[in-house]
Formats: sequence, C-alpha cells, structure tokens
Amino acid sequence: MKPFDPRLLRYSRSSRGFIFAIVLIAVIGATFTIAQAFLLVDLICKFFQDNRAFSSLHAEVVVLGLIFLARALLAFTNDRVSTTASSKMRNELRTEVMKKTLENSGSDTTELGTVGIALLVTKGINSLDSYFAKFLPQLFIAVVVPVVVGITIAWRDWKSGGIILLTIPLIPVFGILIGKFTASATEKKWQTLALLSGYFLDLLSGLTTLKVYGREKLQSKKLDEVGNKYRTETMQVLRVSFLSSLALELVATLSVALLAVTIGLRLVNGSMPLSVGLFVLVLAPEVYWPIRQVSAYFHAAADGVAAFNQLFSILEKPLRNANYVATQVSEISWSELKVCYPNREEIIIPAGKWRPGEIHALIGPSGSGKSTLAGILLGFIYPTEGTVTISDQSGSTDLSTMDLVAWRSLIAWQPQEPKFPIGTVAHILRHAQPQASDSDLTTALLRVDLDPQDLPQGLQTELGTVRQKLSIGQLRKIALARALMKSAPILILDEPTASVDDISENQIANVLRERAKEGAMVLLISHREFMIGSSTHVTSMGVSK
Amino acid sequence: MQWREMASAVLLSGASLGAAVGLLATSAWLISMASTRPPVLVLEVAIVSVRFFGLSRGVLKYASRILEHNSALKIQSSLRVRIYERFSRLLPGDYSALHRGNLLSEIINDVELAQDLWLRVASPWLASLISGGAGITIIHWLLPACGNAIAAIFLLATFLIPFLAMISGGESEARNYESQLFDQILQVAESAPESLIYNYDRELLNQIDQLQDKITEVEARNAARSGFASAFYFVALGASVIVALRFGAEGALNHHLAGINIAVVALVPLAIFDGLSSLPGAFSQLRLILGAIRNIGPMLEIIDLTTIEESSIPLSVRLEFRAVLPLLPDATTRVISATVSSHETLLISGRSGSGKSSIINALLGFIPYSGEILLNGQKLHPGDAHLFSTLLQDDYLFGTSIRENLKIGNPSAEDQELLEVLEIVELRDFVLNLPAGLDTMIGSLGFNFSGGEKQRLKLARVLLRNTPIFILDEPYEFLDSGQVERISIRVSERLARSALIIVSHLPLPISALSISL
Repeated sequence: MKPFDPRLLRYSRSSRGFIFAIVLIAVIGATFTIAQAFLLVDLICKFFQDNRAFSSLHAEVVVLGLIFLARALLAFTNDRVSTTASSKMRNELRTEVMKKTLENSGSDTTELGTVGIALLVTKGINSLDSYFAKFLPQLFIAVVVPVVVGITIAWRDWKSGGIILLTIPLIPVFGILIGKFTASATEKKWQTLALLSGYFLDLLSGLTTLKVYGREKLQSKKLDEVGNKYRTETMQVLRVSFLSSLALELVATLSVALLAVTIGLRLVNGSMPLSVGLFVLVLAPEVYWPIRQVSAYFHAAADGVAAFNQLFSILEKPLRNANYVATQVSEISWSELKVCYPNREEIIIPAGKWRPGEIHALIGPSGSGKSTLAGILLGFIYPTEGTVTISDQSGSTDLSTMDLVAWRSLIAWQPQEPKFPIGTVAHILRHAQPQASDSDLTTALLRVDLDPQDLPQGLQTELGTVRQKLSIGQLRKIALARALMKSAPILILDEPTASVDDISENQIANVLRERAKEGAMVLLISHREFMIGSSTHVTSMGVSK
Repeated sequence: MQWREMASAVLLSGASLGAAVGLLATSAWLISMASTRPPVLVLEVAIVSVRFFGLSRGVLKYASRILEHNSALKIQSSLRVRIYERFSRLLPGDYSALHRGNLLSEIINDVELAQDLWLRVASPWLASLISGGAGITIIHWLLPACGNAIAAIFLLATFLIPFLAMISGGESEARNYESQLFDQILQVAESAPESLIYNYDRELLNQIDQLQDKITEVEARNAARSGFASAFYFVALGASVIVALRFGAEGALNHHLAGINIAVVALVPLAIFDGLSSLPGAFSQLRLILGAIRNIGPMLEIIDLTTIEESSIPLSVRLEFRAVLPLLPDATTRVISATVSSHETLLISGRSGSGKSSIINALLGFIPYSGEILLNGQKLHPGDAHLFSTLLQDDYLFGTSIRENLKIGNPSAEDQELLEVLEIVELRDFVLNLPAGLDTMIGSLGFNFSGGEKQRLKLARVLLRNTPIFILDEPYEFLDSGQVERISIRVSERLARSALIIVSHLPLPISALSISL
C-alpha cells in the first residue's frame, strides 16, 4: 500500500488547495507552539532563578495568553477547512465513480454485486475521509513541522538537535517496514468485514424464508460463530498493525527521556543554561508528535486505501472509443458467441440473423444463454469470442465500434426481473415517452391487459424500493408497457408473459405481431408455447449439451 | 468477562496517558534540580523514573488498544446476534416492516457505529479522567491551591468540550441523507442497465448530486459548531498554564513551593490536557452514535411471545376453506371455499392480480381474513405452522453454498437425498458438473444462476421437507413447457401422500381439484 497515491489528486481536483491550506495552518501552528514554549520557559526561569513576582511580568503573561487564543482560533479554522474540503472531495469522487459505473453499462455490478457497489461508494468513500482529510495533510505536516521545530531546537542547542536528528529517520523506517507487513492484512480485513455485513444482511433479508422453514433458531448460533471468527481474524491483523504505533511511540517517548537525562547531566556540569534545557524538553515532543499522528491516522486511512484500490479498478476501466451511429437498421447478425461467467461453464450462443418484421423466439433450458444474448445485443455484456454485426444503409458495422448511447436509443427492453426506480407508475412509464398524457399511459397499460384501476393508487402507485404491493405479473406488465411505449425499432423482451395468464398472453402476442408488421424487430425470450408459436423464427439454445 | 476486559482497557489506557504525565513531571524536576548542580547521585531516582515512564507509555498504550478493540468487536457481534434473535421471534407476517425502505442497510450501519460509543468516546474520555486525576494529584501534593484551581479548569474542560462538540446537532439530518444516499446508489447500481435504455441515468445521477449537496451543507454547519470544542481546548489549556504559573510564582515567593518545582507545576498541565486533545473530534460523532444506538435499542428488547404449543402431527389432514376472504386494504381479493385432504391436490388458478397469493398469505397467517380455515375440523391456529411447507414467490436463496441452502429444507439430509431432489427438478447433473458441485456459492459473490435455475433450487429445497401439507406458489415459473410437464408430475409423485395446494396460472398435467379466481 502506497502512503501517497498521486491518482488521488487527479480524481479530486479540489484536494490540492486544501492540502496546501492545512499544511499552512500546521506551520503557523508550529510557530505559535515554538513561541509558546519560549515564553513559558522564560517565565519559569524568571520565577525560579530570579525570584521575580508574577505581577512584574504581566506583559509576557498577556502575550502567552494571546498565543493560546491564537491557537484556539487556528484549531477552529482547521476544523472548518478540513470538513468542508473532505466533503467536497468525497462528492467529486463519488460522482466520478457513479458516472463511470453507468458508462460501463453496469458491468461493474456483476463483479462486485450491487450491494458491493453501494457499500463501496458510501462506506468505502466515507472511510477515505480519514485518508483525505487527516492522513494526507498530516503526511505533509510531518515533513514540514519536525524540520521547523528541529531547526529551532538545534539553533538553541546543537547537541540536542543532533540527538533528535538521529532518531527521526527511525520513525519512517519502522513505519514503512510494519506498514508493508500489514498491507495485505488490512485488505483481508476489509473483505471479511464486507462478508460479515453481507452475512448479517443476508440473514435478515431471508428471515421470512427461515421462519417458514422453522430454521431461524439455528442461524443465531451461526451468526455468533461468524462474528467470533471475524473478531479473531481482525485481532490478528490489529496485533501486528498496532506494533508500528508501538514502535513509533517508543522512539518518540524514549528519545524525549534520553534528551531529558542528557540535559540533566549537562546542567549538572554547568555546560548548559536552564532556560535552554527546559526549552528543548518542552519542544522535543512537538518534533515527534506530527510523525506519530501520521501513524495513528495511517491505520484509519488504511481502510480507506483498501477501498480506494477497488474504486480505482472502476475509475480506470478503459473507456470504449466507439462512435458509429446507425440509422435504419436492416439486419442484426451474430457469429457463434462465447461468454464466460466466473466459475461457470462457458456459454455458447449459436450464430443468428434477425431482420425487421421478424419475431425471433429464443428457446432452451434455463441457463442456456438466452438472457446473455439479450445482454450482448444491448451492449452490457462483451462476448469473449465472436462478433455482432449491425447492418444499415451505409453497410455493416461491428457492434463494438458503435456509439452505445445512440445504439440503445433504438432499443426497447423488458428485463426478466424489472428493477424500477423510486417513483410512480406514471413516472416510470414516462421515461419511455416523456410527453405521454395520463390517458396515453392508461392505453399503454390496457394494451398489455393491465387495468390501472386494479393498481392500488392507479397510475400514482409508488414503485421502487418500497415493499411492492403489486404482484410479479403486474410488475412484468408495467415493464412490458414501458418497453412498448418507447417507439424503438428494436424490441428485446425477456420473459414478457411469465406469471401472466393466457388471456393477457394472447393480447400481448397480438400487440407484438402488430409491431412486427409495422417493421419492428422483436426478440422474444420465452418458455411459453403460445408465445413461441406466434413468432416467425425460433432459435434453440443449449441443445448440444 | 466483557466488563472486566473493558475496565482493564480503560485502566491501561489511563496509565499510558499517566506515563506521559509522569515523564514530563519527572523530567521537569530532573532538569530544574540539575540546574542547582547537586551531586549526580541525587538525580539517580529521577533518571530511572524518566526512562521508566518513557518506556511504559508505548507498551501500556499497545496493550490497552488490543483490549479495547477486542471488546468493541465483541460488543458488535453480540449486538448482531441480539438483533437477529429479536427479529426471528416476530411472526413472518411482520417482516414486511423489515423490508421497508432502507431499514436493513440502516441496521447494518448502526451496529457498526454503536461500537464507537465505547471505542472512540467512552474509553478515551475515562482514560483522560484517570491521567488528569494523576497529574492533578501531583500538583495538589506540591501546591494544594494550585491543584484545586487546575482541577476546576480540567473538570470544566472534560465536560464542556464534549458538550460543545455534541450540541452541533443536525446529525440525524445528515444520517437520514446518508442512508437515502445508500439507497439511491443501490438503485443506480441495480437499475443501471434499464436507466440506460430508458434514458433516466442523468436523472439518477442528479438525485445523487442533490443528496450530496445536502450532506455537505449539514456537515459544514456541524463543523462550524464542533470547531468551538477544539478552540475551547486551547482556551482551557492556556488558562491552566497561566493559573499554574501564577500559583507557582507566588508559592515560590511565599516559600510554599520549592523553586525547582515551579517547572513541574507549570508543565504538568500541558501533559494532562494532552489526554483531552482527541475528545473534540470524538464527541462530535457522539450524537451520530447515540442516534444509532437509539435506533437499534428497541430491537434489543427481548419480546416474549407466549410459547406456542405445537400441535401433534396428524396421520392425515383435511384442510377446509369456508368463505375465506383475505382482508388487504390495497389489493384485489376474492372469496374462496374449498377443501383439500391428504393424497389430494388443490390447484388454484386465475389471472395475475386476481388474489391467488393473498389466499396463501391468509392461510399462512401473514394477513388477516374473514371466514374460517379449518384443519381436521378445528380452527387453524399458530401452533399448526410446522404442519406446512411452502414455496413462496419471494423465497430467499442465501449467499452460501447450494448444500447449505438446500439443507434449510431438512438439516439432517445427506448428500444422497439432496441429489435425489435435484434430480426431480432436473438440476442433478448440472450441479454435479459445477466445479465446486454442491459447495458452489449462490449470490452476488458466487455463481451466476439464471432465473429458472434459482426457481428450481427453491423447489428442490421445499421437496426435502416432510410435512402433511405443502403449498407451492407458482412453482413452475421460468421453466419451459417440457420441463413444467416433467417436473410437475415428479413433484406430485413425491408429495403424493400430503395435502398439496398449488397456485399456478399455467395448466398442469396432474389430476387435481381446481378452483379458478
């Protein structure tokens, strides 16, 4: 794990000014600290050695008080600046990642899982906070402040300055050594944490199922076991990674102790005045403090860095450089396509051809690659072998060289399991046709045999993450209505009539035939014989198995 | 056990901060004493103490951090178990509340936050009190009046800094936006493909931006307020240093204090306040943490359901619906009357949205109904639940192996039996051909199962059950007609002795009593 990753600055532009501001504040703070030590020691010496009265030194005391007030003001400013800036940086990064996720057409979601993405972009980015707002500025502070303070000490007493100079390099050396050792451990912790949260979420999500199976009691013991396992693993990591703080702590406190003893002995010899000795004693911890702080933040930041590596794997996915825009598609054809899913047998899709006016039915057992072909045609899945060719008036083009936004504007799609955004039925349907009036929407729903009056609040029924009150059949019909409302020449329908009864199915088949007659290309994935019967072409998949 | 570990952690952490106080106090004394040029022997004890404190600080800190984190993880783990147990005591019908909005993701976050009350707030605060107490005792011993004055300032700071940091408020607002953000992002991730086809990707991104702006606004407001706490820290530190200087100077003039101790009295406040320096940041999170604890609090109360006595398993059953009407405010329902006994199948068919699933939900007691459901002539009661096996449309496959998922149906089933039911749903060879076989993981981190494969796994799971009544809600969804025909016949054979209720919109090649809604 690199303590500093320049990519960070590239992806969040506002961070540069912020880091400069924080370091500046720290340097001003260090000068105040030096002045404070100087005055404090001077006062002690005057009271101790010169027996001066407190009242005779009012001016110096007032200045000392003012220095404390100035440090208070500085602390206030520091809090403000770092919070605002870190929140800005997080937002920039989050927006970038979400944009990229969408640009990659959601293909990231298959790798991380949707909850994984959501966790990464919320909790993951929040854990970057300690990296951005604390660790990173502290890294610069740890370079600047010890130098300023160290030089001041050496200026007053070069021997003490020398001792400090000798111990300082030990700190980063320890830090790097132990940091290297814990890097992989931290990454592992991040993974187990995600697994543990996932396990807990999984149990709560599936509680109804456990309950109706009467298995809910068994799981609480298992949850306890998983929690304990996670604790043991985490503690193993922490035991090692806290060692680095221990080493830093020891170097810092032991060198202060070493200084105190040598100063004491030199004072006894009379080779050093008291004011210098006390000054060095008070300031010495300030040399180590910023460096120790780096290591304290380092552990909090390590979580952030682990998340950051995952974020970068999304951010640095190459952009497709494809810009061909097709008009008037006259044929879509594909050679034999191969797709690999992680730890699953390769899916082989036989070559095919599809023209306007045709209703193509894809049939075959579940898992034979029907939805995968739909995903390839939509540009969501890239086959590992084979190509899809789109023909229009100006010739034939490989799908991978086409501008996907323009290509997708030609397609209406009904996914097998529709995931609606939060909003009303009307809102969702209008995504397909923004100017549609309420009566247009009603017509569209009636066309797929769904009467809006059968919905709890008609067109205003809320969909999305709120617990669905609609049956699965009704949701499918809404998704189908949306697909039919988009006036697209290409229709890809994944199980449009699953959970739908015969009468509706008949009606839906009629609508599809009409659209095909008007010149639309219809791709139909179905298990229903009636639908298959009403298609013009049938492709059987997965028969060779 | 837990408490002892926590107490040890606090004591060790306090001792570690105390070692810093000791280091500064002994070195200040050492240097002051040395400046009077005494024989070196006089300094021997101080030199040893300085070295001792220098060494012990880090070691004590290490030990306390290990104990602290271990107990924090234990707290977190036991919270999870208790929350789960509480929910598992609810009736299945109440779970719809669990799925409301982002409740689940909130619970997960809250549990993680709750441990911070101990780790970030309580433990450091108590430790700073301990080391503060030690430092003040030293000052008090040297110069009582000075000790009292500094004690007053220190106590004021230990209570005022947390108070100032806490009054920032607005966390519940920020928290609310944060969880909305999580939902929104989950939404984008889930509906990314659809949003690209229907052009609402920009709309989703804009919603995220709006939420982010709100969070930024709230955070900026909070930072301004919690900044007062950080500022007050320096005010209090300055006040105690100046007070110590004044008492020290006067004490030395009046011969109440040896001159060599002026430095001790004046410098020790720097060390005791060091323990407070992390508090402004920690306490600015306190409201957030307390909010989380308030949220999960009610989930930890153990609800004692009167233990339902399970009815005995009858040899044969007769289930009778007498004019049953599910009572659901927003959905279509129909009155149904029917009877099904052991060795019989009742097929409920009907159009989508006609209320087929509502009947099942009423039968399982998830929703209220009018009319009567009789089992062997007796009114159905909760103690009969173990007589039913169900396949429901929202049945859940867990993110674990195929074997574990199937064994929910029958924990004592051997692999042989698992393969038997997989054979019925035509998945036997498929599963055996997977690289990990029955150990293949399901879910977002595991194998990519198609809709039909998942449905058949759920069906196989329910077939492992051994109960007198089976209820299958749309069991043959996503299957092609050949599969429906073959599988439905085999399923009916396997469940021949039970009373079987199948809800389906598909015609099935099995002999059954049919009702159509």
